[in-house]
Amino acid sequence: MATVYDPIKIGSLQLKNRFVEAATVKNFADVNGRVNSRYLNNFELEADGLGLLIVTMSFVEKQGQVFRAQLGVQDDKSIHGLSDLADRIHKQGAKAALQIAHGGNLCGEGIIGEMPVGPSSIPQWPGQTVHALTTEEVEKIVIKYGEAAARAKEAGFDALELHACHGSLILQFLSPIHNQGRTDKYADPPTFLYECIAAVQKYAGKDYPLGVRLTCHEFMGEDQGLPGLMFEVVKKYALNCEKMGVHYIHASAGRIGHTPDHAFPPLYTPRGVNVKFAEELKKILKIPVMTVGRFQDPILIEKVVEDGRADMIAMCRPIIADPHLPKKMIEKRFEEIRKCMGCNWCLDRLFSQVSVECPMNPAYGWEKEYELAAAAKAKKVMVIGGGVGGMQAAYAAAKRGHDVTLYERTGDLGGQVLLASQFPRLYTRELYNLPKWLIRELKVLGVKIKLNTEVTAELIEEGNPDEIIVATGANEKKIDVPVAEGSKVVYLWDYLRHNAEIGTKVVLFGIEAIEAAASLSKEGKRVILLQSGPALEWPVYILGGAARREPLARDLKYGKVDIRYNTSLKEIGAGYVIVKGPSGEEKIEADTVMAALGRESENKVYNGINIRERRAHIVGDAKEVRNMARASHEGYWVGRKI
Amino acid sequence: MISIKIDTNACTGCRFCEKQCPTEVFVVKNNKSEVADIENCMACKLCETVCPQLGIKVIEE
Repeated sequence: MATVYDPIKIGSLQLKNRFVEAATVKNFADVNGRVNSRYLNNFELEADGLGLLIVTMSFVEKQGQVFRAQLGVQDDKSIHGLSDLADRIHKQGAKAALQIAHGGNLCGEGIIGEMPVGPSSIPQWPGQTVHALTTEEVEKIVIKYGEAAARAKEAGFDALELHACHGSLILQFLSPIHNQGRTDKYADPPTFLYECIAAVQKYAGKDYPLGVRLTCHEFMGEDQGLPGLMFEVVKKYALNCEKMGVHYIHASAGRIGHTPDHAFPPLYTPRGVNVKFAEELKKILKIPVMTVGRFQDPILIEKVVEDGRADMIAMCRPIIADPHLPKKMIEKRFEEIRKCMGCNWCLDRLFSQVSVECPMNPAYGWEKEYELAAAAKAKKVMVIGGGVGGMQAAYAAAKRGHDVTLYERTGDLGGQVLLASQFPRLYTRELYNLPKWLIRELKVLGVKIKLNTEVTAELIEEGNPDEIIVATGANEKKIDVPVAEGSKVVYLWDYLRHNAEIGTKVVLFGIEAIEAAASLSKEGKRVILLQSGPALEWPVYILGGAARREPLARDLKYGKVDIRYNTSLKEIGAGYVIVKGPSGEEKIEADTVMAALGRESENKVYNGINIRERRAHIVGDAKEVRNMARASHEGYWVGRKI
Repeated sequence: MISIKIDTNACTGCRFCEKQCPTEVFVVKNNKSEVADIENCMACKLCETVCPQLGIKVIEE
């Protein structure tokens, strides 16, 4: 029985264990896609402990660049930087692979400077104009793949991975949704993939270890009614890849822009979502099968390999959240792992075309700059508020040697993140991974934690701290419509505290109501969701690029949530509400009304501090209501600076 | 230390926990869910949210 700690061979390449960093676009490069010190420092840290590090999706030519600051392998000038990178990874004891891709119609004209190309003129998203590639043009791109492989080999990479997933050009050819209307050889969906494999083998040699990362299912039925590429077909392609001499298959799923929640499964999704595909592929293939998707827990990682359901475990976000995950597992320090919570802040940053960040790992991408150096002088630090902003500040300050005391008004640490993890029937439990990790670290560091303690001016005087960090978070906004006696109004936070009694006919309103609507509908309630505008209103923490809106929108649909657009609440009565919508006022039966109106800063403590006499800092929502990443990063920043 | 509390009175034997647990912690016997292998539990708490009766509680100490 193999374990994740055992060596494995992909082709002629021996890996010391089965921990793999999945190719992770970081957006740290310049416009030419060159390696820089951000990549070198970041990969140096991440390589430690891994069997194989697959370096981020790199574009084979400018026309195929998807992200503004993506790495490139588009010309010979890229070789020396990539060579430094491969060298750095090797010195850390890992093997290095390079993933290559052409983005096709995933690319934007603003980045590539020309109209994006694809198998057909069918756009990837509405409003996009795509040039349908001619046969000769496709053949030229195939050669670009080959040349890129030769460069990777010259730079010292041990292996190559073809990106045939998540919407890049190879998947566009494989997908019946985009590969339409062709009459040439590429009308047969896998031709382009097979030609790319052959090109890599021609330019880099047949023995050069080669993997193919496949979208096993596009799940496009959830987006466009037609399923798109399906697993039964992908299995045949995988078998043919093996016949052609490919050395491993990497099983993923989904498609950027349409079913991103399968490509980058967010917190609502169970762990290890793609194992089912890997397991089936392993039944038909002799070459190793790697899988990816929500592997942040050592128990699951160990079990999937031990049960023989996959040969290697690839991780992207779990390594962002904790670059030491493999090392901690190897050294059996499981409890120290900072487990990715699937919030997908990283992906929203990526799709906003800026550097990837992580709320759990504030030093991500700035490993040297943000190192926690010992403080020149140990100070007495008072942190007010035990949410992630306050705890992150306390952690960074204590790690540097300061004497830290943290005060929390309630009986629990975690603040709003703890609350957000508590939807009864919507799976957000893992948001608590961050508070949980911080609580453990604070205890290890000996931070004094005072629960159920309201900080007053007297307490500050008495404690006489050198530095005060205020992280008092936010309060829920209260309703401002008439409420009749006998009516039942509950607030979102009470629902999350599991102490709200909720009837069977619920009307929800406010800008943070969507997750609650999804959860309540799964409880079997009749849910009416009022939206003041013509489209769904997303809270500031459910970001557009984070693959969280699609599954939630589906939950609302499957849960038969009655969404009333352009409708506002006028009055709350006993057993009913009066709403005003496009067709005038209406009375709706409702035994419970849930308000989720958003939050407002709680900064009374900060305003009460005489900042001429005291050194005080304010972080997170207390400063301005935003999201958990901002609170966590600001806390860390202040803790690092004081 | 992780423990799992199942409200056996509420349990209808629907097998949601058994089917959806990523690490096969639950087994349904005689129409009631039981914890078969607590060692496999990683406290992801998915079971808490999939149980239609809201009858499962994962406790970490």
